[in-house]
Amino acid sequence: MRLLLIEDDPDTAESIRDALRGEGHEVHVEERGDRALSRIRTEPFDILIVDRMLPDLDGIAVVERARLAGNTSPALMLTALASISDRVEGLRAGADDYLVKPFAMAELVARVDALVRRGNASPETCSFGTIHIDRLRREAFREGRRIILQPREFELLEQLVSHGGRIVSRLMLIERVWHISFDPQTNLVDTHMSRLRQKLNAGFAKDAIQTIRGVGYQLREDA
Amino acid sequence: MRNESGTARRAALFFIGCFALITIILGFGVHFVSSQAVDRQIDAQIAREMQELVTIDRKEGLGVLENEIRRREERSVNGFGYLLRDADRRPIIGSLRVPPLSEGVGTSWVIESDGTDHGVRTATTKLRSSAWLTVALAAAPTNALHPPLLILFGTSLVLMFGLGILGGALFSRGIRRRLETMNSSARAIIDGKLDTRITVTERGDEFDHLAVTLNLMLDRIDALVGNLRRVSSDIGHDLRTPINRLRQRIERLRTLAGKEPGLADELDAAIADIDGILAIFAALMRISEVESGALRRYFAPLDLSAGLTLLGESYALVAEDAGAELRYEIPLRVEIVGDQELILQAVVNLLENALRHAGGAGPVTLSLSRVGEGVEIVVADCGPGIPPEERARVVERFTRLDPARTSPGQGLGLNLVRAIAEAHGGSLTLEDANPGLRAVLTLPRDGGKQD
Repeated sequence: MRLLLIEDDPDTAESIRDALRGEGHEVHVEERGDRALSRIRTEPFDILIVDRMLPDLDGIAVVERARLAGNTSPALMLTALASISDRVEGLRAGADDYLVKPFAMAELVARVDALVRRGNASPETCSFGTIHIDRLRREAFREGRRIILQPREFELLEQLVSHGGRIVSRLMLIERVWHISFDPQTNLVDTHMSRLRQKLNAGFAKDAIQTIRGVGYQLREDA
Repeated sequence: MRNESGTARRAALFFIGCFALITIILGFGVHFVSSQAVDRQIDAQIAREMQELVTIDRKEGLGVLENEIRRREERSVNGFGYLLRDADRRPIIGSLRVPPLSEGVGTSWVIESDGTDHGVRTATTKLRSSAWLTVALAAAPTNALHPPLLILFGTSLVLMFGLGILGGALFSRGIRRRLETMNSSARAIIDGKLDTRITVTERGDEFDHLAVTLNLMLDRIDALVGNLRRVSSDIGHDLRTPINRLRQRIERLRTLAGKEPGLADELDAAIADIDGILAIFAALMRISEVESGALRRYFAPLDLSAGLTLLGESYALVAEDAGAELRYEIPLRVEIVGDQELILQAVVNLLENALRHAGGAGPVTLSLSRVGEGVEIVVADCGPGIPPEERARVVERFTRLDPARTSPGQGLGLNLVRAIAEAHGGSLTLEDANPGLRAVLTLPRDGGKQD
């Protein structure tokens, strides 16, 4: 994938670029908003990663103008710590996701993966490995066997399945299942994930879910 | 607002009452003084009549006097009444019906043959022959005002009440209007519009002086707040960026360290420490953002029931895993205006506090109810509670009741809850649950909009 990273801090830019290159992406870096905008207008990028705080033209203006110019590439906004207005304004301007600085690189990678996969999934049913879910009936199956899940457990599984074998971070699960963007101090995700895991693995030899310590979860392809 | 207008109205009513009282006193005074004057005139007339009769008695004897009295009564020109009694006070002549009177002048009551009675001024003299002569003349009416006076005072009382109430209403409305201007400006400032100023009129009265002083105070506060925000945002930004880089560097080191047991664990611990520092930063900046009131512009109608049910279901499982119990009672379709994320964060903080400090002591309950114009979210536990004298302190920043600070948490949770409640025009109160703590989050349904 061809990515454009718009970030004025060279150290942060370097870390992000290295991490995404490690994932096999082609990363272009721009430090200034106006220059980034002229590149967006002339070159194709699969994903935009835009820092909210930029000298001259800020991140929100960049996304807003790119959208006005007809660009539809998924955009990930990097916002200041804990700022609700940054997040809301970013999403209103046309960003598809946001990530609060500072973040673990694994979190960024997971978000970029999610944006890459965006729109690939069929709306009604979705499968990965031996697991199959029906979104309309809210039913889950492993090797064709029906697994009875509570609403939150189903939504967690839905997130894992729709991201394929890629890592889904804890924060992404909190945002998408509980619709909140702060990280509660209790292990909300772990509690529900362990129940999902129990139900999903009952009667099967292999654990279908793999925990990535400090980052999140993914489905095992071989399970 | 209602109180200030009440004050003006009360003042107006008080003055109307005072004026009415003064007018009534004045009326009675005038009446008293004028009847006194009339009585004096009457007394003088009686004295002259008496003088004439006494002279007749002295010069011509009692018999002539009796005839003279009879003659005068028959003529009855001046309206005098006469009564002549002998030394034993038996009536000799005269139609005046008064009880025996001692010597001198006074007021007496006369009962007429038709049953009516009226007051008279009397003068009584002991004659040479020890007979008693009483001369009387109708007195000024004492029990009723003269009709012209009555009309005069009645009219002034009515006018005074009318004008007083009208003037009072105008006065209190004027004051209320001026106060309302100040009030709405103050509310705008509370809502985070710190650049609002109170309108100063051309009149240059006390209210304008007050407005000018308040505006100067607001300028000063605005400058100080601006300064504080700039400093904290500078500190926030300046510290965040290096901490950010430090985290990235350690993360890179962690990658380089690979699976080397001791080193990798140490670096993981370092990353966790940095995340702890960042969490405090995040909480502080979230509190500042909420307190600034800037988030009010994102307020929208939201289904509180759905959000709280989601939290109740989820945290019941978290509690179960921790060996505790969470019960929740959420009515359907309670909607309010606000920020869903913030309200849920407030409830999460209360739930996590209750489960952390009192999860082992008995069930924790989460409930939602409609109360008047608002809603009440209550999180109650059966734990040790908070002593009443500590309750105000625990909602301040960095307050933790555990002096050793060994329990997890940053001492910012309740402070954020209060900031969120106040940003919605509501409040957080901590009460005794007997035993345990009852945290009550009261939120108006309209998001605390003043207009």
